[in-house]
Amino acid sequence: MRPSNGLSKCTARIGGYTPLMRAAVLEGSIIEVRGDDSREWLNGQLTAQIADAKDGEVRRGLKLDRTGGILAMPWVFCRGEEFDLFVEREGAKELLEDLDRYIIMEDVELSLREDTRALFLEGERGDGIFARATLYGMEGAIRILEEGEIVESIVQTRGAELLDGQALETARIRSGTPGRPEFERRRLLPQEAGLKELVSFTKGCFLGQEPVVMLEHRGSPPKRLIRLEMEPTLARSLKSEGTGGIKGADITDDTGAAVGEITSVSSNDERGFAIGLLRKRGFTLDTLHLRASEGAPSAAVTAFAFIGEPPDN
Amino acid sequence: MSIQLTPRAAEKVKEIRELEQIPEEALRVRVLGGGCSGFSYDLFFEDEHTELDQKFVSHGVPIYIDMMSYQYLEGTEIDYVEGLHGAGFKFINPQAQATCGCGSSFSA
Repeated sequence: MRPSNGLSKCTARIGGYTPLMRAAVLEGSIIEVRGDDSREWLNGQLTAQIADAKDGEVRRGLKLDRTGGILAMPWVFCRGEEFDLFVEREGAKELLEDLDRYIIMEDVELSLREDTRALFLEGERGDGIFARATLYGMEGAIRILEEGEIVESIVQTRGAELLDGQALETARIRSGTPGRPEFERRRLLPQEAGLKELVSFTKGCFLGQEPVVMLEHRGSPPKRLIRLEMEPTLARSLKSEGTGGIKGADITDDTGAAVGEITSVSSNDERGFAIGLLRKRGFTLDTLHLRASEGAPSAAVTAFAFIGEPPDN
Repeated sequence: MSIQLTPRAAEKVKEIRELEQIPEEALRVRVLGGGCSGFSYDLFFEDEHTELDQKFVSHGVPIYIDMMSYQYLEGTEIDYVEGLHGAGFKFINPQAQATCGCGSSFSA
């Protein structure tokens, strides 16, 4: 029987060897926030506490729409009273436009720096250059790279393994970290995405706060993201050839009724990992199944787990 | 269209001005980015205005509004309400598509 509240022991040990340190280069864009009112204004735009962010710190927050739906999950680099939002490249312009709508008389200016990169080093400590951060469950530090900066020597000096794009995506999905595939598919509140820890419930008002706080005090969210582990052959069969997208795959209940869908999938040589969205509340994990498209290997899902706090149904 | 105070709101503004010993100052109304719904209202007293300000007088109270804020406030009536859950100025803004529960912010 599968556990109802987390991954099974057998999957917890699966995943192959773990190097001492891993490194990742994140491709993205930077939205520069400048002006005397930057700190206060940004604090009202993001879910994270920015008001007390110190020079050299990095924090992670969510940008919500006014109904509480997640639009983006920026890293916020604090440089005194200036802030750099490191965001995914795709959608950065739209995010800038959305933020710009909420500047009225504040002394705030936004500008976009496209095609930037950040380097994350697992195990690295914040030292004024790198800022402490967590990426896909890895503890380490992050910094924005200069244009043209070569990372291989930095990574080699530290004896780290540089993850390629595929390995990084696998790490994201394996850790159950939602990203653009999840946010684009459906409007998700932070609690539905298991990202409540990126929300400050004590800092005061921010855009989209009201539905998030109401949900917090009214029980379980209606939708939930879950994490799946499976045989790698099954994971590979869920990917569309060429496009890298996902073939139709339903999450079903015991009766065979579709109650959710797969939003992200990836695999390494040993395991397959996926993130799925449950569209309704009220399911325990031991009643869920994966119904892959025709021709996919049967069975082979070994674990389901809620992302974030398990619901109280 | 202008911005108006209800008689009750105007009386409250005058009362506060008297208390603060600034009986001649105007009421500055502006919109800021922030709050649960994206935009929030801001009220304070000010004795200076610029050529770019919109200027109104409602029930004897001068009102200044900057051009940017005016785009979001045109046609607004400001009331003063008292209830069991508190008292304060209430904005009846025809341009607001939605407001948050406490009424301090709106979306446009």
